[in-house]
Amino acid sequence: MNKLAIILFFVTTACANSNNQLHLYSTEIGFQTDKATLLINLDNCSYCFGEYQETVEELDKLKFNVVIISSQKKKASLFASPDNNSVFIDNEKIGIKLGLIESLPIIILPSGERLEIFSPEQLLKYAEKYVF
Amino acid sequence: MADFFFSKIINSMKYNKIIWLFLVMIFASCNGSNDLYEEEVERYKVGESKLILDDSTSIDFIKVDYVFENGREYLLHHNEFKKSIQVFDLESGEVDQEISYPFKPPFGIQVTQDFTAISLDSIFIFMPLSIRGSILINRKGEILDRYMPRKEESLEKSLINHVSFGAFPTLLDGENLRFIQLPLFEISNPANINGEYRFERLYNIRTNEITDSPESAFPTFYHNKIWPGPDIQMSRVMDKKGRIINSWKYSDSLVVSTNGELRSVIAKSDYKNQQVSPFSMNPVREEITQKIIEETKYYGIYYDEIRDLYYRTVQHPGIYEKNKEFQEMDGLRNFSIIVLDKDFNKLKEVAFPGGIYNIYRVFVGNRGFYLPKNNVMNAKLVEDTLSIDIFDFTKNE
Repeated sequence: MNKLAIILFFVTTACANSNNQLHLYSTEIGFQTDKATLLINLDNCSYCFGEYQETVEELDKLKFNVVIISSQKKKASLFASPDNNSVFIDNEKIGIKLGLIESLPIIILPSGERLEIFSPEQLLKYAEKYVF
Repeated sequence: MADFFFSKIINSMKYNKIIWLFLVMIFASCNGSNDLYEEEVERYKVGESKLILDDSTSIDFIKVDYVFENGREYLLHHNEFKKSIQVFDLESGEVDQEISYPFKPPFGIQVTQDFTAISLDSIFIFMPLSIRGSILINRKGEILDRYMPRKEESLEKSLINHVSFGAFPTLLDGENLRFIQLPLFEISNPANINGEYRFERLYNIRTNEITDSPESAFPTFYHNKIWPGPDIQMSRVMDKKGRIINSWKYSDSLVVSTNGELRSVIAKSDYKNQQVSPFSMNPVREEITQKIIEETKYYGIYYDEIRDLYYRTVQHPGIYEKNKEFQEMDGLRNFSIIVLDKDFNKLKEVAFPGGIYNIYRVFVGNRGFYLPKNNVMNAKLVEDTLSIDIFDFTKNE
């Protein structure tokens, strides 16, 4: 809780740009920022589980991080098995608190650029265009 | 000098005593009001069910339906990971059977919006954003029927943004499936909030035709105003006389439709002290969130066929904090349940504390009103057990 309070303090008082937030988030969750990162919020997007599970399975995890945001560890693990190498669970919803994601899935590129995802097809399209 | 300092010390001790007394009074009053909730809640509680969840079943339980068959109560749950309908026995808490439904093309449903169970042998499973492709299965998972209404020429006309879960279920009414849909138009344009849009669509499974329910338009006080999008939903229920009862989040009245004839009945909460006011101009996101959290509103209407009662759930004002997550603020809100008799007379309103029950997952069954405890803010929540408290508001009468 103290760690979170410190994070929130930096977010609200410092002039943190999106890159800083990404690095802050990566420090908390443990992913490397030299790869594209897909954030998917299972708690605020009721259809995301069914809609994106297969597509996420197909993503090349050598080129993509996946961070699953959910207060339910079991649900997050059912969506994609965490390996703390390229698939992570954000149980405390730090990504939401940092303003990196609301409901729709987001790809964050190493440059800090954020791409909002509206469909699995679009996710694959962006993956082809920006990552692979 | 000694007297001066001595009196200073005495005064500061008195001051501290006053502070401590004040804090104790606050603490006692807070605990006192929780006790009041607990007393009232315990008065009506008649049972509890604990569902045992395996490693492949999450505790969300968004898509559920209740079935009573051969003297047993079942809660059917759509497990999107397993692509199955799990049939939980509410007494034992265990899965009695698991119905795998077809999910591969050409006739399967890969992503479901929700399902409606008429019995264990008649389960409708619905496509998202459409009725085309929805199916009817039996307990073996065999497809009994598939529904393909005429394809519309324009994409816009073909989309039916139906909800089908929670307080917005899809109901079978004779030959018609009644779907509650949400608007896809721009909510922030007040001109779109008018008497033309219909929140309910009817699909006739015999004729394959889709029509609108004429009695499902916005109430007049919503017209030409700007409201938070999530709060312009309509909940609806059907009673054993075939009447349709519509409940709007901001309206103290229910709209009762009997063979197409409408009348309003007051079903107002004691906890609603003022009328909700619309936005005066297009709001920013934080303003929308704040209004959603802070307004008292009616979430859903439910019908108890055995007791011939209606239940109307009321969300009490929450505490809005900027940068706090919506679900956390929302989950802590107290709520109440208005109990109405068969003539819509208000019998009572029972208050419940926030942070325990999930108002969005309630359902009605043989024993009364069922309240799952999978509120995200419930500190006692464990992911392998779903606890459900059961209340009979006619108890002790």
